[in-house]
Amino acid sequence: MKGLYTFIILLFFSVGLFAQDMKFGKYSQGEINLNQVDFDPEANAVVLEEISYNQFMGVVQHSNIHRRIKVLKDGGQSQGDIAIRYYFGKTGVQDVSKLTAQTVNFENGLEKVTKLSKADFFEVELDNGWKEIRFTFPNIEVGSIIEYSYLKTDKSITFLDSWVFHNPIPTIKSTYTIDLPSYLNYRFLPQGEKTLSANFKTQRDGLYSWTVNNLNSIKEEPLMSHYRDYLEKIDFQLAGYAFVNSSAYGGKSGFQETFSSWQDLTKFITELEEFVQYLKPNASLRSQMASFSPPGNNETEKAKAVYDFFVNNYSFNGRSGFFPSKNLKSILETKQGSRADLNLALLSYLRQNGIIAHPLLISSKGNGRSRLVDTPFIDQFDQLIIYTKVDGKEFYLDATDKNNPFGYLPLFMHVGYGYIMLDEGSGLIPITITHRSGIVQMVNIRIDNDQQLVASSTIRFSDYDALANDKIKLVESPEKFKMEMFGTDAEKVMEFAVQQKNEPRKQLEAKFNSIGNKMDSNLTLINPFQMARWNQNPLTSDVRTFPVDFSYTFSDSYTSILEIPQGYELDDYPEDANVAIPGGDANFSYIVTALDNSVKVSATINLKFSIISPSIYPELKYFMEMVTGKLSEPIVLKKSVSP
Amino acid sequence: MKVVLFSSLKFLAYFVNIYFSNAQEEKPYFSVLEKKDQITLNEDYSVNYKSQTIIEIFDQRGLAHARLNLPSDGLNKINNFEATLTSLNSGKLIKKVKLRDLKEVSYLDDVSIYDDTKLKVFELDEVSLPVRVEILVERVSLSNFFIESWLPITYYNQKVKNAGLELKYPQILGLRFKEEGLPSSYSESKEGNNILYKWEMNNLPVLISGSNDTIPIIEIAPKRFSLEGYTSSMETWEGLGSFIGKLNRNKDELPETFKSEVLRMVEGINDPYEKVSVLYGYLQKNYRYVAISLGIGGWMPRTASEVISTKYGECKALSTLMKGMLSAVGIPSQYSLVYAGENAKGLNKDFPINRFNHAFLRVPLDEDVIWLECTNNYLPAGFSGDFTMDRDVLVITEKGGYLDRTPDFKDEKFNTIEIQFEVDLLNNGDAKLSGRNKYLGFPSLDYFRINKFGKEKQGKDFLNKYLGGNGVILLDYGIQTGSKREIPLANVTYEGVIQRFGQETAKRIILPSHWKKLEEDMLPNGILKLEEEFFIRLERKFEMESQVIDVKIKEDYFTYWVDTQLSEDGIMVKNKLEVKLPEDISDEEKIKLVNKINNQFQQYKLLLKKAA
Repeated sequence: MKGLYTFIILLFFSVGLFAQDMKFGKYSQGEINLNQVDFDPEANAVVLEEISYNQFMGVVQHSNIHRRIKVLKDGGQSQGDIAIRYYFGKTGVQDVSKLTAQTVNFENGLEKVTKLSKADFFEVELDNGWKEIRFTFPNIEVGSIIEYSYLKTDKSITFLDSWVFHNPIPTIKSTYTIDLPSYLNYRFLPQGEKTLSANFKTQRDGLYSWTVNNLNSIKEEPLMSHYRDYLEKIDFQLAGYAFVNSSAYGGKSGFQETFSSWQDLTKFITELEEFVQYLKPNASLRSQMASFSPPGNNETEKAKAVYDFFVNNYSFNGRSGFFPSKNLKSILETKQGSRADLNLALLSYLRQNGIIAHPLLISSKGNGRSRLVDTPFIDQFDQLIIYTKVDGKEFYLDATDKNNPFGYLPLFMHVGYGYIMLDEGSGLIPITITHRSGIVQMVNIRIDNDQQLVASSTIRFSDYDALANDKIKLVESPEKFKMEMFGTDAEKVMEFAVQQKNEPRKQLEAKFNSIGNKMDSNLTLINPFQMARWNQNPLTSDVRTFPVDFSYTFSDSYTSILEIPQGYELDDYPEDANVAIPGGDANFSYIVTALDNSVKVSATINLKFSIISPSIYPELKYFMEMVTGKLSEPIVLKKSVSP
Repeated sequence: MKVVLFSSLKFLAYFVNIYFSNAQEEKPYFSVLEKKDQITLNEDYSVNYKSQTIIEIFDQRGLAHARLNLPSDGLNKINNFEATLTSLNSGKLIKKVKLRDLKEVSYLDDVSIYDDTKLKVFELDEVSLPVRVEILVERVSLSNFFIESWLPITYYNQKVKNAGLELKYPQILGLRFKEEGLPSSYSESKEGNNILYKWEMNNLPVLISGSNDTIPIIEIAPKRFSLEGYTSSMETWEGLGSFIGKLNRNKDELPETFKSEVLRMVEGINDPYEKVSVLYGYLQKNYRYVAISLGIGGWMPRTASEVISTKYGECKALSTLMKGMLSAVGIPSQYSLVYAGENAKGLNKDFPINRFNHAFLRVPLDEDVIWLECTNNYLPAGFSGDFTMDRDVLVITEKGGYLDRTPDFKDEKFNTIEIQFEVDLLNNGDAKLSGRNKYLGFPSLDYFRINKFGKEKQGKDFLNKYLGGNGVILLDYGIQTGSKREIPLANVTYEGVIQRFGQETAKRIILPSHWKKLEEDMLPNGILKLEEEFFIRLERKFEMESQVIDVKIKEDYFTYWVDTQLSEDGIMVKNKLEVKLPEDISDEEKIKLVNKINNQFQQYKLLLKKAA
């Protein structure tokens, strides 16, 4: 009975704690007493509650944002430094006003309030039309509640700013409410389990509200594409609006649907002035582009020639995004531009030469979208690349790095799907990366006349392993390449030579000899390999929240043959191993074969899927420990006993 | 190296020229610069800067060479700006840019919430190359407190065809300058009441990032100066100190109620260090570092009372408050200025100049002097860390100021790691682990930060990664931080497993005689004592195959000992590393040495034969 009583009290208490609307300056006893977050007991600060209430005044979005934070432990005081970022542009596209902020301390049951005055808010001008309001809360101590609210207006309402329920500190409650007028219709795109399962409908049509509770703080982990891809959040895209056109005869009114299908969206985008010039260049631009005529006997050769010409003559200004910043004319003149500019200009060149090419929008890793939705929601994408089909084969192109050969995408673009813009049949298509990356290592170890161990090695890097770490930029300078590979051990590496080829696939091959220890003791331990994909296990944490992202799949093969010198015999060698992670997406095999006068060690590492679920993290970690450990195990030779 | 070459110029002109022309062929440049600069000090202490430059850019990487960030605030005004872009291919004018076309952004740094300085930015976006950019800038600074240095070469990979400076000042105010690495000398003349210095130099060598070339520079400092009504002389450090003293005057006065609170905090404590420690601890716990720079505020601290009422402040204000608190309990201390962080240059006794970016506190005690870093909230009093260590600082006194030097913390007691653990080796090569490590000085700081800011998981992740070798998975751990006077200490206890502690072959298990790898950042000031003592308990019968190791290796800059002892139930391993790097070691040499030491750690393995 007593148990039941406690349960009822607790239930009542926790409902009472945060059930009512948050009023500025009014704190519940629950908030005042709170000194630890149940689901994150070590947190030094917590968002007690935050609300974004959105309405429309005409076609201007008004967001009333209110956030309340509690400092729970030392170190949490730094939450008192606030920056509110917004895009002002030249004409105040977004603006922030009605700022109120205060610190409240509770001493002997009394509230001690310190309000911020106007002079405490600073406006900071950032680059390219962005601004920030910055301020800092005074008198923060452990136990303080700090609270601020403001109005943010936004005149650009086709895509509303995302609301991210997650914060860098844990969040007890975060609510996003939107009151849509009858003349506007929006499509929403929720991300994250809690947001997806939130009951957002209210009793009134047009009023929607998402509340997400008890969110952990979110932090980056090693081998992770980006934590932003896993945030709980919601986005909005205009789906339609009511209009009245009084200039038409007799007046005309109705409801205009926007982007009801992928093809509608494609039509909208491709007819924008910024895109038209690239997609349908005029005669003068066409003749300018005609000055380059690609050599080649078939479509593939021609497309590659166009790509090579383009990346060698046009340079990337470092700006990303899927919207072009300049028109084709300007790009042809200045020979530089943003990613979208360059890729669209490449498209123009390809089409000029009769090659099929289409814009392909993707959500790159780190864009905050781990999964695309199959509704025409353009805000889910952040990069524009090119889809091409030559001689019946599909390729994806990005013209921002001349070191990437035709058909290779930067690793952050290795995503599952993209939105292709076609004249008909636009929509999501799978992106299939067919490259087979990997490292092949062949080592031959023998002893020279001075009883010194000498290893002759050939190491071949293929595809993304050849492109990784800027290796190809180092090919011109073998010395630098050597330093990159061996660091300060480079002194022991002789006759280092490196060569590369682009066809049929990107490959780099390094050949070298390296000097090991002398064979002078009774027992000699010899490490059969010169290098490994990982020198040590990059996974050191014992638990994992997010998937491990290896960026690309690969298949490695290492072989080492040790010639047993005269006067020595094989005494001992590592045991064979054959391991895989559950599901078999990664496997490792290690085999030692003793032959007459030599011993051969072969190892393979295969990764069949580049993203590994956190649910098998402990097994993956042990797998990696196994791989790194086994590859450094020695072969033991001992001096033969004379008969 | 460069200075020597230049000073031999008149004797070896021919060879020197050949040397330079070769050098230029080898070193790539992305732009060519011609510039004429004028710096004019006026009788009202204002300084005019006029700059006429022509930059020809051939490579996209040279576009940044035309970028200008022109400060504009209460002290700095831009009077005129004009830029003309001309295509070098066609000779056609591309565009003209005026002052009103420049975009304005706030000045931002990593530490301030806000700074009221705005920057007018000129940058080349996308233009067809090659391009010729002619720029005229006229600016005025209302104070000569800080006169900009002049660099004939402002960018790496830039070829300077010619560069000239005219430096003019009224004789009555005077001016001082110090040259470094300049290829040619100056001429001096008199124009009425003004003195005029002129430098003219041609075809300067292209500088490359990462090389050890001296960057030529003229540092300029005032004799008499004025800043918003405060006037003083910078000819001596004392003069500069006295000016700072004026800005700080009475700022450290505490409200009476607070003063009595401070006195209560140290009631019953006699040891002056203890008093300092208690008050410093109070500051660290209750005040946070927040920098807001408004107007002269960049140089003038907020008052102690203001800091007390808001519970935050910048380095100047927090130091001032601490000074006030110490003064209230009868301990004198001195506000001091320093160039903190990396890239600190020594201060020249004979060339006082305002080159500081940070303030902290000097506290003389009975036996020694300690320094308090008032923006830090976890260090023990007197351990001011590597942010300000081992460098010249300007100490502000009531009479003026003088130069002093901060401690280098090179003593062993600030640089020691003691690792002690036991492992139970399991049949599969994994091992059960339990141990206790002690960190003194710099090595302990990570643990202070974890204790202060981290969570259990972060502590565990950190230890799994950095406690010792690979494969550590801790099940339980504890971190205790504290101090022995100014020495920060951390004790870490832990239990867990080491995956694959031993390497296994068919017949053997091979065990390391050293566990913790050396990393470069374990040598922040070039000194380290790293001691390990571990006992390996064996689960089943093994035969020790390798002989007992007892080695001492003495190499340049480090000594390493290993000693192993066999007993019935296992092996005891003791090793000790002592590193002492020379002052002038380069990064590359440091990496090499660290690698060499790590290789040394790998040399001595323990071979165990599995029992049949």
